[in-house]
Amino acid sequence: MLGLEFEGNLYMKGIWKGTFRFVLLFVVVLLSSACGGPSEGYQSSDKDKIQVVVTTTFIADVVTNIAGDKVDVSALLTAGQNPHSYHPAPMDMVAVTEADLILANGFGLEDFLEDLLSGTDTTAEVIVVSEGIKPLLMEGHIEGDDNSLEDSMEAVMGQDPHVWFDPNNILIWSENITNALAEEDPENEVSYQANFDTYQGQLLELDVWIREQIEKIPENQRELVTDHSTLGYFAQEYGLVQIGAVIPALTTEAETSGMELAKLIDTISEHQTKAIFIGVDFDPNLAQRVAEETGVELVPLYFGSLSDGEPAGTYFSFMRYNVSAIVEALQ
Amino acid sequence: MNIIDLLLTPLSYSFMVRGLTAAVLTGIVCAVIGVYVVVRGMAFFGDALAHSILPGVAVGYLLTDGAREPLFWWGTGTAVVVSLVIGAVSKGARIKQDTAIGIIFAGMFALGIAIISTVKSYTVDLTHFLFGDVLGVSGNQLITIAIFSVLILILVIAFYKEFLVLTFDPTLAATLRIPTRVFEYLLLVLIALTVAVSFQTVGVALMVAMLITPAAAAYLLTKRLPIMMILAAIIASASGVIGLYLSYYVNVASGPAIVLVATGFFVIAWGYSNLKKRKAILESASA
Amino acid sequence: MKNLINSFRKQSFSRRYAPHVKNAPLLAMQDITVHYETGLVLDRISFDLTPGAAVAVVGPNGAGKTTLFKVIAGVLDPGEGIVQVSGHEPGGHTCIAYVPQRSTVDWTFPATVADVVMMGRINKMGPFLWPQKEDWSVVQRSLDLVNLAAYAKRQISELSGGQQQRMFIARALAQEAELMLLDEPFNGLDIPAQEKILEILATLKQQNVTVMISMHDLRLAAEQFDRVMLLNKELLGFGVPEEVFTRDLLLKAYQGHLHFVEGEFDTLAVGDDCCDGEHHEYH
Repeated sequence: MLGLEFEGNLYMKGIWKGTFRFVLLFVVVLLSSACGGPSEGYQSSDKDKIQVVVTTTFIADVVTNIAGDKVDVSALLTAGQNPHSYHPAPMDMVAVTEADLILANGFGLEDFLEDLLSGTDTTAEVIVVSEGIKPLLMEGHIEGDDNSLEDSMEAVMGQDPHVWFDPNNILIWSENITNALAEEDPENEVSYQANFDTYQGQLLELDVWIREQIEKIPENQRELVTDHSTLGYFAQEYGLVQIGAVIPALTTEAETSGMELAKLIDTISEHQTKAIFIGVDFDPNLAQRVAEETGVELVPLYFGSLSDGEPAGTYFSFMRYNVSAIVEALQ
Repeated sequence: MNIIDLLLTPLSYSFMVRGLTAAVLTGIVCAVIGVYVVVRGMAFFGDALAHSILPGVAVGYLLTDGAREPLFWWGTGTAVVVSLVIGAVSKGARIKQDTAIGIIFAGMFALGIAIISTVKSYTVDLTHFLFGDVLGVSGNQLITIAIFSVLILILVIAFYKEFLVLTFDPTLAATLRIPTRVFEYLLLVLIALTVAVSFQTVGVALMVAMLITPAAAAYLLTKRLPIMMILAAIIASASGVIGLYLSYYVNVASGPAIVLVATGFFVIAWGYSNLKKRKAILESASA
Repeated sequence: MKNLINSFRKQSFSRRYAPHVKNAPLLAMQDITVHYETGLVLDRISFDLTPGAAVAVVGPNGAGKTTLFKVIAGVLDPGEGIVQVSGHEPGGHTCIAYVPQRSTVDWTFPATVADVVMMGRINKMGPFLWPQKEDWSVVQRSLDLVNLAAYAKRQISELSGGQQQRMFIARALAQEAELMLLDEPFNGLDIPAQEKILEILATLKQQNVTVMISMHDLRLAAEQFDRVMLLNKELLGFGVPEEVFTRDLLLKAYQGHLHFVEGEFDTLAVGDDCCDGEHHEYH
């Protein structure tokens, strides 16, 4: 193909040198970025305490509120991590093996869980904390293989897993979690129950506060446009309507089509929407294009997990931050 | 909805207009450069080059914290470097050139995937890198694509004769004192720039299709090189437009839609040229 | 890095037309020696050529005929020795045409005969320049000379072996070359095709074009050319056939792969299996 018989070995050396440096740069960047790698936050295991492994940071927060320091809790998915791209690190698998209790969100959020459980042969009790919540159904589909998990965790196509946007659902979580903890650790049942009562009060307070905030939004503005359709439970509970999404599906792995985008743009102009709410963990590119074309502002919210520290490090600050941002944008 | 409405509706959205422009521009450039790729048998090189820009783009993504615009420069830089490396390696040749290209291809692609896999929350972009994200092209990116496309085409026109002789008969080129090495590497760089420019429209995995399919279809229809380039450009533009319209109405991803339309054109061209051949054989038999 | 710059400088964009020194021999070779990885290929070749000469170069496979041509054409840098074409290094000249053995070209390439012949003229045009009317008329004349005018618009894939060879000669003519190097043009051609080429060579001689042709057919060389060159890594002989094709020199050249057939003056045969074991074809 490039067959000329010129000798040019010194020239080639020059190219090799340059490439070598380039590759070296890659390797350095790769290694340094890999340092943000697998799950953090493993506490040293104390054999007396029960080991609780949860999937999301939301569940971890609730467990901490209920159990205090009576249990060791750790979350597989770190802040900002996408559950669909999650690959368990060896440390995670160890944690799962040694866990006494495993808590999962359910409703199809954790498609990695089945393999993880069977791969580790764990003897832990596995609880779906969302049990008892009435699931919202969505037309969008969840990527991934057919999951037929154990009976307690069925991934049904089309269930909206983002239940955590409604404090009332968190209340149900807390009930399930308290019961599970009590069963696993009857000695501390009283303490768990007491914490639950306090926590319940706080959740109800939050619910009232949210309703007050929503009141501030003019009736005709109680509409939500997001980058993914994740606010279903919130909208349902507090009287808002999800009128469109940049990628009208449940997960970040879905693609969108030109026609859907066009529909969204039309919807936004019809309804005179003021803002598109985008997740800080998601790629904003398409949303930016829509915003440019329609002139609306982009408002970042926390969607898939708590943040590392401020401003959404606990469930309460998470909800307050998001609701404040929503209300401010729509007023 | 009548046919005029069908055609005009998508055009009322600026993202579609940008997408169509990007698809047409990159289609033309890929086709023209693709003619060289097809005629010189460099399809594997083209595919390797396309996949090899992934680590560069991934590193750029990490370092700029997800910004889209700088990715073009990261992709361009990586593409140019890799193309020159492959060019140099092909001359050294202790291993077969085929093997050398394959090794670089696989290694770079794996490196890219590895880097991307460390970014836990943005996995959606892997799909965009692989298959294109033409709906997400911004105004600025479109301008960059346009400038580079024009630059590439100007260079091809300017040095058309030199590339022609170099491709057909390198010894003649040397005899005529054409700086062959310069033009060899220039051609590699042009292919690299083409890959970088088209990366956003069709993505890494399907880039090779945009390089070779329109050109291969044109090759079946004409034996004059300049006509081949023009035909290829037309086929590629048509594929881009039809593909995007298809993806709009049928709700399929845009990159693959464009490639499928181009492949369809190729099949038509192949059928047509086959029929012509048969006809010619029959005629000469009965003559 | 320095080498990179030097190699680019050597291949600069400017088409240097080295001025032809008056009265200098068209070609002067002095102690040209070329080494490849595999060993010595040319050993201290020295000779001069006057304009208008027609020389047949013979020698077994691997004798270095192709290498010699490449050095003369300026395509290959000799390790040692001096090559001068009309008083200057071949590098600056564009009046040397080298027609390689046919197999090196891709015949499925989309081009017509006229396109290929036009390629010989491209260094008369710079970037952005396209063939002008007069370029096309030169191409036409060249094709006429080689009797391929009827094929001008045909695809090169349609040509027979002899026609391909004539097309390359036409291209060399379009190049307005003063020195033509034809590398084994008679390979694989039947007698009529060979005759056609010989006719063209006669025409070239009339136009004062200097020609060097390598071939395997010793009889053809002796009959058709007044000067012959016997080559096997070293220059074994250069002159009229009677003086060069002597028994001793031929033995030296073909080293035992030779069968002499006594009979007419200078009739002999060379075994087909000559030098197959060490086939050095450097293309």
